[in-house]
Amino acid sequence: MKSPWSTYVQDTKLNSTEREELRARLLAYMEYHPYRVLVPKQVSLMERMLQRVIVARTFAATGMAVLVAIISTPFLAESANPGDLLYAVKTRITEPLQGVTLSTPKEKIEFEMKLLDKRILETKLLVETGTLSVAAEEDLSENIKRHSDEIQKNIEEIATTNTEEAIYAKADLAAELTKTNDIVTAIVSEQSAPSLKKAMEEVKGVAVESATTAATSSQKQVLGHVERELSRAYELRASLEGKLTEEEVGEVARRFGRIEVLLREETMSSTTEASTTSVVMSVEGASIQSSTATTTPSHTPDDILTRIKTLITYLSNTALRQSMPKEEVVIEIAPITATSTSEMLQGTTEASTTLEKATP
Amino acid sequence: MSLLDLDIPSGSHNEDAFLAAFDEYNDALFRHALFRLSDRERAIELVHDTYIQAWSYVCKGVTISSYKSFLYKILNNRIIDEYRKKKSVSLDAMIDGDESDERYMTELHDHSHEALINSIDARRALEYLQDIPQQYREAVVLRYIDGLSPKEIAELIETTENVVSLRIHRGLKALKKILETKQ
Repeated sequence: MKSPWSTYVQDTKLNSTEREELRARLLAYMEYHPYRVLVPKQVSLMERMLQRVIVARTFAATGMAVLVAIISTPFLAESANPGDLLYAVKTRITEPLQGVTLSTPKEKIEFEMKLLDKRILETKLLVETGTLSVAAEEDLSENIKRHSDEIQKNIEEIATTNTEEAIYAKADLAAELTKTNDIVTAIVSEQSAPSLKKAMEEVKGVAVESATTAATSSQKQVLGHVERELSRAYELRASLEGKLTEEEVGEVARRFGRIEVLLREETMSSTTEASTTSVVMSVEGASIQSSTATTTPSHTPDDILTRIKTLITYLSNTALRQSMPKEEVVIEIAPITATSTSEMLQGTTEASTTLEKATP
Repeated sequence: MSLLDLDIPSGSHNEDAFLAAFDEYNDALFRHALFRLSDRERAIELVHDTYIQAWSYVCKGVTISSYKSFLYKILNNRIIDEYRKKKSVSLDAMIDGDESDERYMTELHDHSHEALINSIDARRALEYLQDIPQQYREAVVLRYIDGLSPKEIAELIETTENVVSLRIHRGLKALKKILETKQ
């Protein structure tokens, strides 16, 4: 609806000069503040996106570089030698990782033994190339000790479940370290390498001592058992007195005689070992002896125990006595010691008598 | 729909549309400012400031659906600021009593706007427009000089149509009284 005042107000307006001036000012403002420049929200959004992409790329590249470094370092470290920067990566990360899947102590011991051999090869390589530095020597000494400790630890773990196996493992380790010590000594014979030699002597000494202690302890246990079983056998023979045939009496006497001979032999061997502190160990069929070792006894306490048990079975079972073939008589000559010559002579005479009786 | 549409910029508003709005509304805005302020120079300045502010909004990406409403809104706010600067009259004091619907209905029952406006000499009324309270003058100028409907005025000054009609009515009555006094 048209206002009744419109007629009078239409003339109220800007004059052309005012309007042009106003328009010019406005255009000048618009020129300095153009629409295109001030719309740049989309452009800035794009820039932000680009920046994000750049940041993401940087992160991705850094991550990739770290990943590559993590993956490649162990491979590079594999060829590192003692004294190198990456040698610690090899011995502290790569090698333990290789053994992480091993579960039983026996497997772990084998693994550590292999690593020990590896250290020897590294020593040999460094000596051959003339690059056995003090740092390398320290690295080797430290790792040899560590492998030895690991093996000892696993042997102790075995000992909690199987004492006998632990004794053998200790003997193996002592033999291995004795051999390794000899090899290392030979390798570095022309070098000073004091810390390496000292470390080898230390680990060898610990292993040998541990093995000796275990062996002695084991032998004492078996001998105690032998003593008990032998008393039992004598009691059994006494209870059968008058019930056995003449032939059976002879057979029993012969068996007792042989056991006693073996026992004397074993006792004498133990005494000699104790007096000379020799260590005798059997490693993979080969016999390694220390310089002061004496002859190896042909019968172990286990063997004697078996014979006593067989005798007890023979005495307690009539049917067996009758069917059992007579044991072949072997003349045993026990080693003679200065302190027990007369006793030995008596034992030999007894054995001969038994032989005469047993032989048809 | 609101007078101001503050949507995200679509890019449809350009310089040509803005300059067309200048060409179309510069006289109306100037007239409104002049009858509100009774100062020609100041009215021109406020019109200039109004367009500058509108352009700033355009550049910020505000989508303007109606330049007329948008420009009037900016100008009206500028004029209110102008009154506040002068502080000659308290804005609250300008409100003449109750603006409730009951009062309004009673007043409108006595005289309609048409009857009142026809009883007033337009030429003389324009001379004395500055003598009535600011809020009545705002409503009367918007209604009879700018030709906006009560609904458009209500949206512009953010009140109800009834309040707008009451202010127009009271403004006309005040103007008539002044004219009668002057005679």
